[in-house]
Amino acid sequence: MNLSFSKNKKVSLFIICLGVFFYSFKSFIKDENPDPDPFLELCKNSDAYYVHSYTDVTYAKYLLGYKRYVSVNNKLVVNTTKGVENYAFLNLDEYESNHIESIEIKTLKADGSVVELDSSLVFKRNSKRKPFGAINYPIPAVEPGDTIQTNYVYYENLKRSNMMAYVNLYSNLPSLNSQYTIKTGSGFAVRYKTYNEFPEPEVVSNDTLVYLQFSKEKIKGLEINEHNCLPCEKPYLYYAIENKYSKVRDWKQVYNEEFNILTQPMAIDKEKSSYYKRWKRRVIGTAKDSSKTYQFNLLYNEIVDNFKMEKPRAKEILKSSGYFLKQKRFDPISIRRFYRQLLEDLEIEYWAAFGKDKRSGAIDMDYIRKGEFDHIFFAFEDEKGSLKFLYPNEEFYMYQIDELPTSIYDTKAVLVKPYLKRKKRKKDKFITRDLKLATVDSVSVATVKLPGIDYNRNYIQQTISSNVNIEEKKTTFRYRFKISGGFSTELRSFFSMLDRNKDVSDFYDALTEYEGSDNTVQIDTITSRVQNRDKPFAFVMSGKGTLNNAVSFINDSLVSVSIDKLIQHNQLETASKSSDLNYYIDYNYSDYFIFYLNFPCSIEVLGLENSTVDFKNDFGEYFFKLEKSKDNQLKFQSNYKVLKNLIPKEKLLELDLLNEQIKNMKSKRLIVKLKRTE
Amino acid sequence: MKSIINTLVLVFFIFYSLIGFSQDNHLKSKTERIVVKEDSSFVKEISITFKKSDKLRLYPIFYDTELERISDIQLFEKKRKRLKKLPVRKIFEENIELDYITSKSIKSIQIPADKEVKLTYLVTCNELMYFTSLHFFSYYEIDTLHYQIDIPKEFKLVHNTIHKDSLAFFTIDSTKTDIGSNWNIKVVPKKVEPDPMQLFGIYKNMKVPLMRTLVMPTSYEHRPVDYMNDWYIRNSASKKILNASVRQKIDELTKDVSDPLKIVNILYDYVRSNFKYVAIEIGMGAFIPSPAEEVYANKQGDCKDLSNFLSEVLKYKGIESDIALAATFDHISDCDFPSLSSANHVIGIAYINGKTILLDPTDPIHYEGSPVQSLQDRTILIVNPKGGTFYKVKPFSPQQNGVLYQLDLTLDASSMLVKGTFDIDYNGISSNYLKSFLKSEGEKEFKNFGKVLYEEVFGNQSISDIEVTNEAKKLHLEGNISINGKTFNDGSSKYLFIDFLPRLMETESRETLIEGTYIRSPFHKKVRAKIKIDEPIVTFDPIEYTYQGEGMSLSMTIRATSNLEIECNYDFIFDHIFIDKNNIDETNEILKSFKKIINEPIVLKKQKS
Repeated sequence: MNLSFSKNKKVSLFIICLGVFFYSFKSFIKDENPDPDPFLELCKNSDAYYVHSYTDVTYAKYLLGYKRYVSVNNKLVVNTTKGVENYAFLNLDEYESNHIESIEIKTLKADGSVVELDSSLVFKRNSKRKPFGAINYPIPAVEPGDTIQTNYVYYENLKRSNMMAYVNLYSNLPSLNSQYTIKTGSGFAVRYKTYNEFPEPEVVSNDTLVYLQFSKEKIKGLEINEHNCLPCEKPYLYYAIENKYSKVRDWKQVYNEEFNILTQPMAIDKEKSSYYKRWKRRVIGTAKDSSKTYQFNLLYNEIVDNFKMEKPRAKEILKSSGYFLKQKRFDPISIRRFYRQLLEDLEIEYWAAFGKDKRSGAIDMDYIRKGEFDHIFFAFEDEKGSLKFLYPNEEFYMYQIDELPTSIYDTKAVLVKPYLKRKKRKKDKFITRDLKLATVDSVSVATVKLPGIDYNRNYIQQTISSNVNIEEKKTTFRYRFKISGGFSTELRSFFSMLDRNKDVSDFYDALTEYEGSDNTVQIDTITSRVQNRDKPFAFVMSGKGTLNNAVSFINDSLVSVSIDKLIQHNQLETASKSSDLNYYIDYNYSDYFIFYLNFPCSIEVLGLENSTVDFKNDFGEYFFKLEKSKDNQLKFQSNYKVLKNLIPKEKLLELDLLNEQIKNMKSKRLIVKLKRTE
Repeated sequence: MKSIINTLVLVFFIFYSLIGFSQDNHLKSKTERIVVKEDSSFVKEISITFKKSDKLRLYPIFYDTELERISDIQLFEKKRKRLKKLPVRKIFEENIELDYITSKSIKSIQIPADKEVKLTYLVTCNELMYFTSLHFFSYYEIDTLHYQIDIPKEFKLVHNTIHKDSLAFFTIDSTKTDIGSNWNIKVVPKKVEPDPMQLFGIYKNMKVPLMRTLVMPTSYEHRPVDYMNDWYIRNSASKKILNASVRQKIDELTKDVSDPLKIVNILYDYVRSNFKYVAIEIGMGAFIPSPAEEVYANKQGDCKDLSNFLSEVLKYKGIESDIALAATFDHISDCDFPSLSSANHVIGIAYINGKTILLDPTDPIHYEGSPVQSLQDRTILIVNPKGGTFYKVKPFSPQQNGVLYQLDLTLDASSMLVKGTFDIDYNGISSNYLKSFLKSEGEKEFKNFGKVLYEEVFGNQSISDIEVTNEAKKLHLEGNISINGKTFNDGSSKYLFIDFLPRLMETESRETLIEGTYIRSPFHKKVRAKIKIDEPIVTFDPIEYTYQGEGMSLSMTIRATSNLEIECNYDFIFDHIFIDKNNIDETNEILKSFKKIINEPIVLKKQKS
């Protein structure tokens, strides 16, 4: 029994040992071939990837100002020839190249050898007085499989108000580990806020040092295109270095620092200052008893219609509005001051409006960050109590009242107004001889959603009514082109820019010549042009012209029609088959085209089958209808609509489907049989 | 797309600022006195008279900071015959930012307004070979341009002028003295408009008058090519040494390989795959290669560095090899005169079995034994210790660059669809632009690119399931095509539009071409489209179209192969590399004729049942 037990025991032990052996073997095998880490696989399949990417930023007091030292330490593995061609370069911008403290770039060869970049070649000076430009210097000896180790430190001299940064850890290459650290002395506080789940930092704070380390592992490389908004979706961080006991920034500060400096009019030079009053009186004329906003509109329209915008000139920085009125021109600085002066003079209640581009992310109302406002303009109430926006004219474009740049459509803006208990003094309105900006003690703050315009008012409408002359084998047409909303703003500003900038105009001329000017719809004369000053600022143009190539005369009784070149919709294209981020567009829109082709006799049309498309998905619509609308008339309508301002990345295929509909229809050909009764 | 346009706008501004386009300078006269010294240095004494203008102007002086020194800049106000010295108020110095590292710089001199102003300055250079050309064209209006050249008796000047016929006035005269020779050249220079089309690969203003020059020691009289050859060999002699680690690597790569052609192939591929193209052109480094072992250590270089390295490693493996100076298709002149101004490129040469094999390590698609695409029909100057020789690079023939499209389609008039497959075979270098894309972007991106490209090539039809096979001298593409709205029934007839046939020039989307368009290479395109009909038709006599021009022809045939199938075939032969004023009209005539043919429907008579 014992023996048997013993034997069984041995067998059991043997089985256990065997089990352990197999288990260990299995574990061993498993260890040898672990499941591949998908992120590591992604890295290996990229042209290059970061083993690490560290940026260490140190802030320190320096003489009367401050210094920021930025230390960059990257380790980049280059996998492919394309990776060598694209990433085996030292890239420094002009500022960095002129403020380098130290630099060490090494190529760690796959065979274990090391080749160092001779930085004296990179920073070779021809003249000591001449600063370096941006540097794009090849890193030597890099082959696929090698690693580039980059270490450099540069510094920046800063004002206290500039000791801040917006940080994200993304680049176009994947990174196994990326870090951003902030270090400063104990006299300062690092005030920071993270967004979109940016990881919280490790913090060390003691008597001598404040140190924050933000770190993230396995970061995918991102390809960003013009429709993307990284701060809308991806983790990022904002921080500012402040005095230990300073208060959080408030809107009063923003108003004083960012609005007053831009808009407060000058009352220093007496020259031409009285001209301002005479000009105002003359333009208002008999409308002096009209409402204040009516008077303002008159003055504003006079500027838009009869004044030029030019570049600011340094010597005119202290000039009064009267000076610019006399010159019949303004610049982007003086025009802001002038509009504020008008609003003050006419005692129209107005606000400072702070806005931000849609694709730069939202304004943080809880923590007012520096450098966050791309747009500073005015808002005022008209006599009906409705809010109007006044966007100052730019060098190349003059906005109508209530017209806004399309990039801030449908975004949140902040309206700030001083809260005054006493009557405004001259010093509150103007910068006088002491060159001091006015400061307000308290402000009232409101947030508004800036108006967007939807596809019902953001549109292009084109109508062509054409007549076929069989004898002359010629097709002439009447044309009506109407654009409205965001399209109107963008197209007018584009043409205004071309009109004012010869170089850009020449470039676009060359581009047009290169692409081949399509003369299918050839406008011979423009009969009228009308610009509506009211929202949505429709612009209508009518003209006459000749249709080329679309109608071909096969013989006396047969005509072929091609609609390929006639349909030229403003399609929203996807940059590639997939996108890492969602698409944010300024506005949704419709693009409608209606075409009539009139013949001098009855017609029979071949090819009308399958000539209607009524396609809809969540993001767009395409309607197409081709019909014989009268005995002698062929008509087609083509309407392309983008319905949403936001298209999620996973839904981009729907956009392709929408665009595919147009392609299918454009291909269509028709034969028209002429039933002449001679 | 927007970002591409932004980039182009940026490039455009760089281009224009480089040539000083924005300045409205009208020069009354420009005189350059070039004095060559016995020590083989030279000085240019430049004097420019500006017409009066009501605006301040900036006059740019382009120079090489390593090779040239600008000095003695003076301004004078011209009052009748008297010159009153003016202070030189501002000189702006700016490096020229190019996509390669260079020592070129610009000094911009402020020219005062409201005065007739004379500007004088000196340019000193110690490297005589850098005196390479005299420009007879200008981006400014210049009334008269005068060159005076003083050559000491130790040297001789040889010269060659291209596009002289475009000059309204030109005289040249030389006198010999006991101490040397003096040359006098007067010319009304051709005013050249800046051409932004170059940014899009359209080279309109390339044919500008230019005198290429070479100043050589008297001992080389009547042998300028030998002088150029010897100068190059002498200056690059120290750049040819291969150290032990290079030799070891080359031995590793060619271990057990004895066939010289295979060795060339291995080493050519090695350089093209493992060395990145980087141009560092500082001073004479713009012309003379970097040391071969440095190129190896850094794994980078430009055309001359990589070619010199390749040539040296080939020689190390016992293969006879040289380098050659060359001028690519977009250079102002051909490399048919021994001057540094003639060349903008360097390639390698290998000699195997009596054959001259061109090797361009900067061309990732080139295969050894064939002409280099960018050098077709150009001359190269082969540098060899036994003496330099010019060699004409033969262009590819259209037949070598065959492109065959085969479409197998079925017509269904009830659904108005024509569906089927397409196969495309590219031979020679006809697919170089596709191969370049495939090599740089990979197969996945290529398929996306191919879909967009071929949808356009097939007149905006739907393309799907593209597959690509890349071989050494071939590229094969295949996929499905669906054609909508091109066919319909009409009682006893059936209409078919054939505007889905691939366009004649697939690299060009324009309907007609503009002068200066670079076509890349000659080609012979064959299109064979079989279309199965959904019901029997009456067979018909073949319809034929033929168009002929100088170096181009189009023949097209539409025929019924049976009562259920028709064929639409064309052969287009194009034997030009550029669209120029000589071939533009005929080319566009053929393009328009083709468009007209495919725009007209084919009427197919249905067979009576």
